[in-house]
Amino acid sequence: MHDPQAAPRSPSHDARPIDGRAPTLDPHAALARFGLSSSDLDAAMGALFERKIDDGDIFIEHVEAEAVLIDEGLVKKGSRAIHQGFGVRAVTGDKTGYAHADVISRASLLEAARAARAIASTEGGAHALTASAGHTQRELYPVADERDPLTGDLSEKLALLEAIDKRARAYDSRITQVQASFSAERRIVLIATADGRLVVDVRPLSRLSVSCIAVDPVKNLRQSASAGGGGRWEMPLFSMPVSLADGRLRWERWADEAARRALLLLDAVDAPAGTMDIVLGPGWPGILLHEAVGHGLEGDFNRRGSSAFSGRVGQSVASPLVTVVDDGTIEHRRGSLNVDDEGTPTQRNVLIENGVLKGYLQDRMNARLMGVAPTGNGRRESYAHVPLPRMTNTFMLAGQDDPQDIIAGVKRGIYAVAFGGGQVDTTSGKFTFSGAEAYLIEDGKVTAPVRGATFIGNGPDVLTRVVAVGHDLSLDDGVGVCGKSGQSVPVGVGLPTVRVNEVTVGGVNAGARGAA
Amino acid sequence: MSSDTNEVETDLADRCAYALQAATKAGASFADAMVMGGRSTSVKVRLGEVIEVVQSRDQGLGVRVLVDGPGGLRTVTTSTSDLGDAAITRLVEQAVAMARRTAPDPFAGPPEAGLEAPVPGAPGDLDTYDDAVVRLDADRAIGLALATERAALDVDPRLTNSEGAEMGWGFSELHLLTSAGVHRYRRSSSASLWTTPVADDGQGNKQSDYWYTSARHFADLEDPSVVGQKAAQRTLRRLGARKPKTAEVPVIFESPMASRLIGSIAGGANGASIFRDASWLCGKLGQSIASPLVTLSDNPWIVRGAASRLFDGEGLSTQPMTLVDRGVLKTWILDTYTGKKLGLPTTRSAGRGLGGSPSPTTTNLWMDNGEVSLAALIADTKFGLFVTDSVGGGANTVTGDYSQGVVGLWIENGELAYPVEELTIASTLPAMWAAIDGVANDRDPRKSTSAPSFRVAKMTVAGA
Repeated sequence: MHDPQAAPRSPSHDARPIDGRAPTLDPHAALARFGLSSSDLDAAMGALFERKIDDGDIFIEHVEAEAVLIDEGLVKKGSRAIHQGFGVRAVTGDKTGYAHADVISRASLLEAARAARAIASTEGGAHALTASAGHTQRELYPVADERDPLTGDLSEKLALLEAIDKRARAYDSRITQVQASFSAERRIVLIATADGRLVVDVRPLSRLSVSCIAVDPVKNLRQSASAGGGGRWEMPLFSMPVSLADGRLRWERWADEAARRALLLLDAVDAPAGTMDIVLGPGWPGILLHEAVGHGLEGDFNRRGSSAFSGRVGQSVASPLVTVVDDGTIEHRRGSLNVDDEGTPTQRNVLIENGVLKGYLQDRMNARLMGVAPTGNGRRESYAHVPLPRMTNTFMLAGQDDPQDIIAGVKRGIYAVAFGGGQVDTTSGKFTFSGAEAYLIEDGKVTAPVRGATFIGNGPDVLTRVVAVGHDLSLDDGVGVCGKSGQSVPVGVGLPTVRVNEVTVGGVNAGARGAA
Repeated sequence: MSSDTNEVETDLADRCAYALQAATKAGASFADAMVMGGRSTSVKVRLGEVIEVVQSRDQGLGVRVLVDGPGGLRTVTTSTSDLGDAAITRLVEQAVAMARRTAPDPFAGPPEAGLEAPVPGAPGDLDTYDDAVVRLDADRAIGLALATERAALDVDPRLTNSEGAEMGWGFSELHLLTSAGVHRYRRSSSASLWTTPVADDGQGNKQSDYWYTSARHFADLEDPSVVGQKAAQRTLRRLGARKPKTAEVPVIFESPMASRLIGSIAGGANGASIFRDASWLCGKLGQSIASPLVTLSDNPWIVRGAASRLFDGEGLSTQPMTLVDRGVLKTWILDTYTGKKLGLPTTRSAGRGLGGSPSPTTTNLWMDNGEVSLAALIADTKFGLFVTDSVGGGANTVTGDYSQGVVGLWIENGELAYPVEELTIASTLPAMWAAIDGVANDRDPRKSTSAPSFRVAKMTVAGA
């Protein structure tokens, strides 16, 4: 995944219409907006189930998006987009037939249904009519009825970008370039399932990004850094205070952070090279979990036996201090969903509990083939993509240690508080993540900042070397994008301060070896 | 691929023209519009069975409007997959209204007139469309995917599992129209085939790697047996990998890895980074930035080339250029806007997606072959690292820092001795490119971005 930058709820299959909400929340009104009625869906489902298939669905999507960018002090670029289309899927055994198009009509639905069902060769029979219909019961990210963030408030957004630009430039005279962008989308998805449900979910998603370039003219050095955040909420939340302790507004903190980090890197030393103990700060460093264990616990790799974690449920895969959760039900979070892209309500899934592997992340197909229940993790980038088991918000539960004590306990190592991105080879289990803000730890004290280094480790055993877990769990600011099989989806991560022993740090300075 | 449909195909050029009319009517002083339409199919097999068939029909329209006002022109881009009159009109009107509220940019403007005229020496046709690809039927494609996977798994009994094999193929067409009366058109087909076998050493340690082939023409695809065997060899050679000791040693990048690295020069030379003073190459035009063994060029005119094109994202006729000549940086990569910002003519390198403004990009980016074979280059290296793939990290083209997780093979006494993993390599881009002291002759001409294997005299390898 990368950054280009909890309360469990009981799931329910009872979908019902919600009265008095915006018209788009009513499935029939949503269908009507595409020029369709439920009889069109029934006709397409009928065509799909003329072959004997185990599962099938129709996914219709409409996305409206807007972005504005400030560059060189001027808001001189803006964009708007409207995309819509549908996909029809037939599943038999482990086989999937999928057809998608961006012209939405009864005729194109029928054509796609015939193309998708060709994956199955046996004649089928009846299927459930789309009788019940409703909005998902959850309201993890309610959308304001009247105020469409995509048409209103342009001047508010422009003023915000100008304020960010000014603040970041005022931070220090060595800040030479500031770019800030605000992007927002509203995605309406309609899912007709094989068991006759018609689910609609309206998903807002917004993000503010700030990046700065700092130049040291004497040393002839330049550095760049970025900060930002967002989630399934709309504009006004960017102007909320960060916390009681930090009186700044969210956007103010991100502008400061981007500038501060770029300046910090101007004075950074070369990262050491070799194996050493590292301390990860809270929040975004949770990318460690996403790469080290998250992908390897996705149902598809494990059903096929190609993951380093295949067949290891019930075994110890981490230190007893470690409990890892994937939770799609946290309000307003970037990785949250009322229902996944197969219409299954999301839930809080415990992946690793006190070090023991509890289960995998499942979509409908892999769950059926592995004989378990779907976990609400069937996600797709858009109507043009087949659902896959994916993460939502993945984090480690808080432990008991004081973060300061954790750092103080390391003789020589690295303290990393921000990362650029990460990657994993799910077969071998080897993963990497790249530091964006990291420091040397010398004799228990955080000292010089180090320039961006890549960390590399082995997913199946790195968590066995977690020797301390802080009490300061925090989730990231909402910038994560996860890529898999060419599909990108928004995700979240979180972590308390943790100490991991013996991680390989890929700096250039082979002379400064860590503790062996 | 199924081509039967009872729907009338959309007249794509007409949709572009409609968008331009709507933009002019809404008050744009200049507009250009790009429309794309295509169909594609992919079939995936695993362990001898078909597991996925996906059929896609795509269309989309992107419009850029330039609106004049106090202080100069404003730019807004917009895109839609709904090509009906109502959707286009609404979107274009919103774009013009949005543009009126953004800031003027003195450097914004339409491309210079006349640059759409053919460039002397350009091929008349790049031959990027092949009926044999478009007419390929799913059964034949399934057969090819099955043969590819089988060819891989048959190589060695340690190949016990598979992430499958996939064949994809399709075509797309593109119209680009401007309110100045330019109309350009191209169509292309493409086909690809890959497989990813999984090897097991019998002690629970698994490895996988892949190989693929892709081409505009069906006849240019590598044979399934070749693709499968290469994937198998690449996977098997990873088995038994160890973590090496931290050291400073010579590093040879195998051609696929070397091909990824040349992006660090192209990215650094991109006009959009240069005018922002955000590149490790700022101020280096005309200077030596790499070893004299390095010559890099961008050629949009390769017949059947993967990234070939006769016009760029602004409709301007393309031309080949030498980016780095024996180590010396010769040009930035520019479109109209970044050229104006730097006081230079465009290199006609505008890339463009449907959703955004044009911005500079490369086409077929190639580093020239050296004179020795890869085997000779390895034999010439007493101790060192042979890098075959990367896992995360990479080059920072702003600062020039480089740190990357890699896998590969350790070289001892001029021979590939054993596989290594869980290591990183690090250096800086100026140091790395200057320290190239050996270039092999194994560049793969089928790839759009391709470099031969090359050796960097010394890098930091971090392991145990």
